[in-house]
Amino acid sequence: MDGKVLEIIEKHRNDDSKLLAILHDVQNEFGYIPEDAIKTIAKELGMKKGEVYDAASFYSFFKFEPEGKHEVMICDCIVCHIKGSERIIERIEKEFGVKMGETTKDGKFTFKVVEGLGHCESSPVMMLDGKIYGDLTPEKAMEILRGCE
Amino acid sequence: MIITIDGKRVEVEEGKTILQAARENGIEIPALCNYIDGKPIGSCGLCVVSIKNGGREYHARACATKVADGMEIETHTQEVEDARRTILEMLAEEHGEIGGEANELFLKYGIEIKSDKKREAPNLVDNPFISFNPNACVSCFRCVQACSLIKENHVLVRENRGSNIGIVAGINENLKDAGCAFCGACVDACPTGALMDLTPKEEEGKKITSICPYCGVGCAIDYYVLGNEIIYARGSPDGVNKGDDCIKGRYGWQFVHSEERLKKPLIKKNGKFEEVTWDEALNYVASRLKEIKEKYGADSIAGLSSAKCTNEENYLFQKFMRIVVGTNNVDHCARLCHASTVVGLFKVFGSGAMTNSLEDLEKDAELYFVIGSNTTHAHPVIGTMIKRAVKSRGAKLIVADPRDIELAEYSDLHLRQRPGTDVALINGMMNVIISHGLEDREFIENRTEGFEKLKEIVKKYTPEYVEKITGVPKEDIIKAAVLYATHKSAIIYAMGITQHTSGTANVASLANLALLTGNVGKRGAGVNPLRGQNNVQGAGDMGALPNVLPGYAKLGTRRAREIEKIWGRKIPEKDGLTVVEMMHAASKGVIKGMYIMGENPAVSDPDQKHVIQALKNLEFLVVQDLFMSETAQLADVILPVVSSLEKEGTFTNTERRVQLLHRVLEPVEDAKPDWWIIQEIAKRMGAEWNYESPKDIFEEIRKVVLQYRGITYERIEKMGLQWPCPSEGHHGTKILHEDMFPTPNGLAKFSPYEYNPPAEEPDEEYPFVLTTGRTYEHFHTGTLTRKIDGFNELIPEAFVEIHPEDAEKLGVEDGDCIEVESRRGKIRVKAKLAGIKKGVVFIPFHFAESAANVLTIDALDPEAKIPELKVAAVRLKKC
Amino acid sequence: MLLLKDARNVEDYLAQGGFKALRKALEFGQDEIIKEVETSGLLGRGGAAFPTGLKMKFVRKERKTPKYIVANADEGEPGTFKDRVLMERNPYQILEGMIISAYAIGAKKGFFYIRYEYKEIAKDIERKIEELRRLGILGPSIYGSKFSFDIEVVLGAGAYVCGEETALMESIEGKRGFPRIKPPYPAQYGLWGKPTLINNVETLANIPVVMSMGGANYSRLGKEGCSGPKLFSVSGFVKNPGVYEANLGEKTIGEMIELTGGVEGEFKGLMIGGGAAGFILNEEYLDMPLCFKDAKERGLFLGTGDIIVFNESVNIWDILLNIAKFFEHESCGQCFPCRYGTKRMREIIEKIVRGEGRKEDIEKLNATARAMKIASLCPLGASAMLAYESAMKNFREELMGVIQ
Repeated sequence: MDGKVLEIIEKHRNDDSKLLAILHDVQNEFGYIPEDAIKTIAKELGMKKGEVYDAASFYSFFKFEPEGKHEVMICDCIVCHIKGSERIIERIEKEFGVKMGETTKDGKFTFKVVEGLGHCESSPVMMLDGKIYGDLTPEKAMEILRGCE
Repeated sequence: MIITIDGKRVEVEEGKTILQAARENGIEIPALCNYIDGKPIGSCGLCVVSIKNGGREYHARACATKVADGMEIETHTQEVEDARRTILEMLAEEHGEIGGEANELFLKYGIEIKSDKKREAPNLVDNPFISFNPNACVSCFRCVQACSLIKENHVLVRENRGSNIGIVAGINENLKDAGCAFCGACVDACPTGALMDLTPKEEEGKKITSICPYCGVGCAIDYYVLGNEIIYARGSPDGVNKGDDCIKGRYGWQFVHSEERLKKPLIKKNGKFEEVTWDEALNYVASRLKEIKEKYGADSIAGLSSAKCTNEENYLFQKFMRIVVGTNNVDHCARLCHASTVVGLFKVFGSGAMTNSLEDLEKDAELYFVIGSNTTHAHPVIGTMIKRAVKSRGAKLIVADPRDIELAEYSDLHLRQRPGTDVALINGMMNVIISHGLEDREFIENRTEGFEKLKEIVKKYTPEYVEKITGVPKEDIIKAAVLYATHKSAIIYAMGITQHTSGTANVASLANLALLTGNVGKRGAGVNPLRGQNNVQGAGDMGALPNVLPGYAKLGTRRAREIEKIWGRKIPEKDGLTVVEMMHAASKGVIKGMYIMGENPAVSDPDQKHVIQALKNLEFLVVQDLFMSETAQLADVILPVVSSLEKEGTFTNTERRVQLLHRVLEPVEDAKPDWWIIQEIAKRMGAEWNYESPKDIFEEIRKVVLQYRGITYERIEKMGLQWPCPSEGHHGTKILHEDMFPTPNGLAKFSPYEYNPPAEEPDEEYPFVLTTGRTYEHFHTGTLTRKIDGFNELIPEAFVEIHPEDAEKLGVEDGDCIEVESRRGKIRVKAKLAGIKKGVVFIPFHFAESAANVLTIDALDPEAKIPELKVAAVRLKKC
Repeated sequence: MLLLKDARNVEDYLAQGGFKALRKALEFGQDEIIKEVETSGLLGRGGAAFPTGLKMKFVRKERKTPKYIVANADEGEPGTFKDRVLMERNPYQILEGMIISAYAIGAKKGFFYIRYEYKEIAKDIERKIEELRRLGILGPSIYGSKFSFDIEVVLGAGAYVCGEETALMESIEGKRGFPRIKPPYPAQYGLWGKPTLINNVETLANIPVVMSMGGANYSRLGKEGCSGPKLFSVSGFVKNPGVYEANLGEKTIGEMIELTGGVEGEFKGLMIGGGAAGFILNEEYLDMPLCFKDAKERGLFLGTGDIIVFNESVNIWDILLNIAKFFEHESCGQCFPCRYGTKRMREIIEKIVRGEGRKEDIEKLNATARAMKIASLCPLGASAMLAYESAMKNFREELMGVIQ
């Protein structure tokens, strides 16, 4: 693992703003940010491991434990909320037997509620692995998730 | 400037915050998170005030807002008070167990703390010294600020955000794994009682300030005492440490309450120790010493004085050896640590002590060159000072050490030299300085002699040549030399420099380097040996050395005769034996009797097998100690003593500061102060001594030791004075050699040395270099720290630090057992994969059961007779 | 359209006259450019409506170097999506505005901070930056001039508060996004303690417009003292939600809603001012011109220029609960008033939504709101109660109707 992390750090050697970029790449590589990666990053950037964690744990998209294969973010901002996001959330929780913030037993999905994906023109929306799906209904949302490998 | 606070026009200094200005004018604004004035955290929001300024009306935090001319401030409007009450109410709803100073705010606002919400404790609670109550923590971040801004440790950090925010250590680890220094700065900072010292009782004690019993920094510690028990301790704001402390200062006093303390004199009868009365023990010791002296002569007796005893006791001990026994066979553990400092610095500067002071080093050094000193572990308060200077005011730092010591993380440049090659490294730096014309010509011209000889000798030490010897890349040598020469630079060193067969050469070379660049005799510069024991400087000053008398008076000189006059007896003129020489003489049967005061040579000295055999070979051995040390076990008589927390007297710290002890506790049972015991034995051997107190002895010291002449107990009641202090009107000397050197012609003398390899170099049979030293948690041979459960929990046993690649070749993983063998013996220890130069291993010497000194070599520096504890050839194999 | 062009490729942008403003600017003195921006009356489009020219002047006069410029694309307010659409449709104009501003203040390095939710756009901006380097429009000696400038894209990681300028800078520095205590302001003490100009991306996209037509002409767009084109994010119950461009002061709220095809269902109310950090208004506000000054006169902020339209299906307490949850999640936790206040607001509103609200709860809410307003460290805490307070004013009957 160390080698991969060092490679990522090297890639950002010339950036002025390094830490967030490195953490993103590490998370992309491993699916989360492992403790050992934090130690390596701290050492290479001349920081204390606690300083790295202090920064990283602030941001809601950084994860410190492995999660499901697919990340599903359901927007529940004001606009999506008045356009029915709650019904989508209820439906997903029922169908997959999980609460928001949890991962399905088979490890396929991790569901999260977020507050503003910035696509209010097509509310309600969700983001599946970085891609936006809009004008959702509970049925449409389930259909998209079922079609996901 | 003029401002208006609560309708009152007041004048305040520019740059002050509203909070400061209000306080100065007797107006109390509530504030919970403000800890360091001028470094606002801004979390609590309680100090919000109403401001009118430049036509604007607004609210702002008093802690973070600087006063401006004409500002009108209202500190207690209804609106502001309502907001404060609401904030406190919200805290009370969330944190049910708030205590500490925060509690006063709740009382003042009449708010009841009623929450029964329970929070999960972070992993940091898992530690032996500091408790954490998550239901009391309000995440004000004062602890985080203390850990970062004051201590530069950055161990305590914030986790998550919003109402889920919390305090954790490292990556939510336990304190030890997170790298905590257990300095307790977080505890001192906590306003809610969430972070507290784990103490036996939660009551307030009476504060008594004394000097820490551990290293040579000489921190003042406030001990809080209840009955005859210390409850807790804090670094005193009034000492050289200015409130800082470390794990040993803060928690290391616990040994005084150990069950294992010796409480009665013991005499070995039929191979077993039996309790006896003081009279019996003292009579027996006096008669046996007399008997040996009569039978074999005075020089068949040797004494080890102690760097852990007071100046008064060291003075009396050497006086006892010299004029009651009649021999110069007196030495102490400085032989094992800084003998080469005394010789080397004396040779170049004419005086063998730290040239500068903590205060000027902290404020004015532009660059620290730390060589052979693991400062953050062995002298933590100075380590913190360097970290702070680097982080907060951008001071430069060069570290030369084969290990990745903590300071290396903070350094601009880390030179990993091969152990024992320091002379080559320093000569190499001087070569670069001269070849680049960076030497201080004016200083060399006016204040030194012997420059041409130096130039001649360092000529061949080109960066290329030095790289081959030291393993340090030539670019780094050049960089280090240029950095050092172009800043106001302070050299800081310790045992990594001194404990070599080339120890004197190392020290002298550092002194040469300082002279070459004019970095002597001014603030923020100098050559600064860090002394290891709390009174090792004093023990030397008191003449507990075989070749010099108190005040470093040479034997047989005019000054020696003056001292004879004061003492009223003749002083032998022949140099006595040094520590290692004593052991050799004992094993050969030349030394028959030994008097050891508070030292533990059976663990501390090189080539342990040989030392134990020598001690066993003695006809009579008397040991004074707090505990049944490994050496005490071999004694015929053991005399129980009190610790420095139970006695009066003075210690002299590493910066030559003579500091007064205050008795914190009453002695344990029949234990006695060392000075009393020495006097009682002396009396029984015919001396007419009548010292009634340490102060009595000190008054005599003032007559004998010229450097101490102006120092009195009264003058150092609050803060010590730095020698030389020649008269009572003199304020002591912060910086040595400002105008001239204490040499016959007032000039410093360049004393160049050629590089000589260590006594034992690795070869095919023993391919690794072993180097030894201290850990942060334990001290010396562990006689004190290993009596403390918490310290044992943190570092339970010895280990060997090894480079991961070396470990891999041996098939060893972290935690595996390794057998380490030298030509003198072998031990088994756990492997610790660490940042250390390849081919070098490190073992701490605190652990008698796996003593590093089984392996070390007793080869001596020819001038200072210091053994080479820092280099031995060893081989390793998996157990 | 001056902002909402369709210029996704550099060819399109160049064909529509792109980078002419930059070439013109490079022939100007630095102070002249700032003068033009000042004359234009351009106000910041990120929410605070601070005069852009003045901000540039502050940074320009600082002696410390290096200086930095930051493009703020951390668009996090619910109901606000105009920056996203602008970055998708007209990204080069933002970059051009950034280069001109950098030249004017003397910055050699810029940072483009984009929220995590827009990471695909961030990748696209990164590609465009590389493209501009190849074209000699970024990098050393831009267009053969002595001016060199480059941009680094920084991707956020999910923190609304990073839209606040000092929190954003902390984030770029690789720290947690805690807002700094001001003063000092970014113009003096910004990134790594250096003078820094930070502007919203829409503000930056206005810079080439000012340079092209001249500050004086720009100042005549829209209303006096409130000039220039502005993007409006219109969402909720309207027929065609989306981003619309209009000069400031040109249209009323009602006219803007009509422009999008009108209300879906029966109009009940609306929010303006920046999503959660905004105001809940009733029909009395439909005739208010969309202009910073008019908004201010009525005790409001136009904020980011968003309009969320409610119809009869919307329950106001339900909206307030959603907003309270938003702030509780997004409070950075640095200061007590916001950290505990947002949580307490959510808890009380939750109780009210359950039908258990009492009069004391309303009093408690009011006290909490007041404490947060005066004692919070940054605008997030201070704005968390705006929706509640305005709703209490405009929908008092409905809100109090459920209180026992």
